[in-house]
Amino acid sequence: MADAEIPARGALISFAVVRKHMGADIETPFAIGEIRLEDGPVIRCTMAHGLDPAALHAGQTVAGVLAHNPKSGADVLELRFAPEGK
Amino acid sequence: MARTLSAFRPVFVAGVGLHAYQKYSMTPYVALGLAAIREALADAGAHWGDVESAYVASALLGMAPGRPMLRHLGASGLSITHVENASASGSSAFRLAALEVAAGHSDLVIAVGVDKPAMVELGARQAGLDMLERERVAAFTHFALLAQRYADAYGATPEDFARVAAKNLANGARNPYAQRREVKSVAEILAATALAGFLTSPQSCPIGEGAAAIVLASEDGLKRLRFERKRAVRLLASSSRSERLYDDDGGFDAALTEETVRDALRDAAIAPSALDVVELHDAFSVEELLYVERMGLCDPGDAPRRLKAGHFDIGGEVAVSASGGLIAMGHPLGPTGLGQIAEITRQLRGEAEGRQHPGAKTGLAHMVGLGAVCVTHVLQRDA
Repeated sequence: MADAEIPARGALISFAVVRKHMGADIETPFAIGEIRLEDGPVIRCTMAHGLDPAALHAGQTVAGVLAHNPKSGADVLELRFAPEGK
Repeated sequence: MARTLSAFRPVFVAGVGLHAYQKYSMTPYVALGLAAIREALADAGAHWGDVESAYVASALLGMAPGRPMLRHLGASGLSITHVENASASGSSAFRLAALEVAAGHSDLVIAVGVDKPAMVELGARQAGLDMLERERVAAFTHFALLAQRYADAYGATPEDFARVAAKNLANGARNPYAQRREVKSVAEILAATALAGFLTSPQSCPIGEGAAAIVLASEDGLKRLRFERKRAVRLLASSSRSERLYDDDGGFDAALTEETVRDALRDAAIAPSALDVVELHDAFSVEELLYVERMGLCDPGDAPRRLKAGHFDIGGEVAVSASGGLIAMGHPLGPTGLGQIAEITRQLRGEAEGRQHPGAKTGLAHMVGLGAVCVTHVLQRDA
């Protein structure tokens, strides 16, 4: 196996607003998106602006952003995805 | 070319037994397992000394739980094999037991599933390759993502998913072995604790404890037991597959189900429309809609309408999860796949008291396990 850098951009396939979560790493609710990256792989990632399901729809282009998580230290940034242009 | 089950000796289910699925208790797994085994032996008219080989399925107990349980029946020296295949552990134990009988190696074999809730490490976590957001995507979120895709594809509503749980809870209320025995309306199911996306807590299966046991026999085995032939249920096919790479918007669970069920029905020479009872892996409500379509019980996108029309009810076109399924009967892991075989056997014998699907002749059992793996069996009343 070797590392490969791929662009954080793709199409949203599906999403779900999560209301129950066992871990202490993030507050609920949060949204998980299923994204087909332009280079092929399908990943699941926390959405940056996903709490209004009406704002998300299958097929829309989403891109990676770096976001602060209030549950982590101020110097920690997390990869999240958001609809492009938002 | 590989040969199917039909090329070997006929395999029959002679005895079935269960310990009711329930919430975690202080009862040791040994007592749970023995209750199921004794019920299965009595049902088969067999003595422990008749059994030549045992397959013990568990996913959450420690290493080698079989003999500490089985020794209470007598240290007969029989072959003991432990089987772990995640949610499909019981289904795989049944398959291995069936293959041993079919091959002519043994005439009477028992498959036992027993489990108690426990935290265990997953192999995938020890594999040395981490996954983005693994911790944040619980099983219910995985299936909520599939439910959203299904809703986008076919216009399914929250009520359509909740209706699966309403049917299965109503069935479970009629099953003395079920963990959840409470009828709930679609409105009550929708108003329950939200998990993720469309899914609420009654649309997710309870993981409890319990046990299931099946005695399998060859024709010689049935003769040895002087078993009443019309109560023998014949195993027509067994199929077991694992996930491939799919270019499929329905998700790998559904694509894997389609392949595995197709293999089993082909080997059994049965059309999907010939199935009277189906027990499937409804760990989450959306799965039933996806799987009945992929099994060929209805057209893609038509499951919500059929469900609403009572097509999948006991007494409908095909009874889906007459036991209550994983959602109501429960999903204690090791026992689950064997509990499906017990339910189908009772249905095909006409002995499913209080929840009998009229005229049941042919049944299919289907489990998906983490990995993903899929194991499917087709059974038919012999007479």
